[in-house]
Amino acid sequence: MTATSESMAAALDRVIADVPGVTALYRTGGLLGQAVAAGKELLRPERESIPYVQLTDSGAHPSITVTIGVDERSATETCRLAYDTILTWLRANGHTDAAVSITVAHVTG
Amino acid sequence: MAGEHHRRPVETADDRIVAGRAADGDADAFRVLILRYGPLMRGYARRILNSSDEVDDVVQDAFITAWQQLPNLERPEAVRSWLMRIVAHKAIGRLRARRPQLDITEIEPPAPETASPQRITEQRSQLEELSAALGELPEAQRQCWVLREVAGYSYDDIAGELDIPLSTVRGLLARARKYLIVRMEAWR
Amino acid sequence: MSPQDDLPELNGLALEPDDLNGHTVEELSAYLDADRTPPDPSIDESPGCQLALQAMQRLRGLSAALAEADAEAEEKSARDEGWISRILGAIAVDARAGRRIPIAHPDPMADLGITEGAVRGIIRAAEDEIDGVIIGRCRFTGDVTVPDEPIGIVVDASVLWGTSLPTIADALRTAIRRRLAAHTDLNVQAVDVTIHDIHQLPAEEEPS
Repeated sequence: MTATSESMAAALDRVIADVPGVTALYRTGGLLGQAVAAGKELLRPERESIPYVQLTDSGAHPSITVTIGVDERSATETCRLAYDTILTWLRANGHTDAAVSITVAHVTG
Repeated sequence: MAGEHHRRPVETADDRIVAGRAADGDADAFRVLILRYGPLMRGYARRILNSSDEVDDVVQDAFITAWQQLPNLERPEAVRSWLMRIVAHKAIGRLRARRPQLDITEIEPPAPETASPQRITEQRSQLEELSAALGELPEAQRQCWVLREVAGYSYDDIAGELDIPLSTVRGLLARARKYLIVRMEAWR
Repeated sequence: MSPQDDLPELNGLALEPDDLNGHTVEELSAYLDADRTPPDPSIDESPGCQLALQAMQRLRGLSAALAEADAEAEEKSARDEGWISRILGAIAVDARAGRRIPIAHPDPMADLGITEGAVRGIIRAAEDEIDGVIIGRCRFTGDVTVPDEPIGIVVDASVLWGTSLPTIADALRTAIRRRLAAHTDLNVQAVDVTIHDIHQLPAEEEPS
């Protein structure tokens, strides 16, 4: 990742973390020990601050992949809301035609 | 208990439920399996390895494999013997890494120390005596014996696990038994 | 287990074929492993063989006791939180993600989904709503990756002793349906609950 795409991914991490209902962000290859302890703490900045969001092409047509944990309210609604929030942020930052892929990997409760 | 919700802890459920949940990805259920069968698996690994050096690693390794393979377990109610097999396999693999060739030559174990009066006065319990006697067995005999008597393997399964002919398994088991019987009876 | 019972003195136990009516220890072992079937009079009627078999039997009982003692001796190490978290910490969480179940969105560009593993978690959590239920394995019938495909859910459950099975099963089916409707776009046609086990409360949680 370039410095630009990395800061963009980090910004997206924060945007997604702030979506109501989102409780966690996961990395592919994450370990069970972390998932067990999942909750907002996964959202705290880590020593190696590799973004959770996977981003390819930070230009006009970025492709974004993210895996999230959500709370009890509604996995489908939270997932759709996360999508809308990401898209709004992307447009505001000049990225149109983004391909956004979101997977809910855990529902709390 | 107005409004108090009575959570059924998964620890009270039988193996079919617990293993079924773990197969479905429930980490808490997997933890219950570790608590339920960890001690047995550790004791068993220690017998096969005949040392405590690698027990932690071998059983940890067995549980990691178990987690990966659980979805393929046809009968979750049989999880106990399934786990025992995995740990046996890991422990034997570890021994093999130490000594690639399982020594199945016809070397007789040293003659059991017969009726040493000193032992009797030491009044060690029979279990301690059996434990010590097992430790004295040649490795191949001990492995066969532990697989048969502790894990309940069939002769065929032992042959498969140790990759030796069935006739050899029979011979090794008979010699192990002979040695242990003489040793234990001498002590009585 | 009292291995020190009233058997004759066996210190002179002899295990050569001459002492065993022509049989070998190997044969006797196999005979014992086969639960002494089919009966072999040349073994059953030989005092030498009987002594040897008794000794073998005693050894077997002792072996079972040893396995138990071994496990007991490991209790403390096996409950060590450090050891347990090393195991849990080494386990890949995505190993159980399973298939990706689509979530619909008006924007055709949106690619949204929920993992099969997460949906199983949603189903299991239904047990929190009904006293006395523990959910086990859960399976899907039908292709969950195809939107609107008719889907069936099959769950294993254990219920508390003394509860009414049909009532519990009904409540569980309802709770699962409602949760799946809230959290997924699955077109659930049927929820089958198999109750195969009845468990007891742990003693300390017995309501007073």
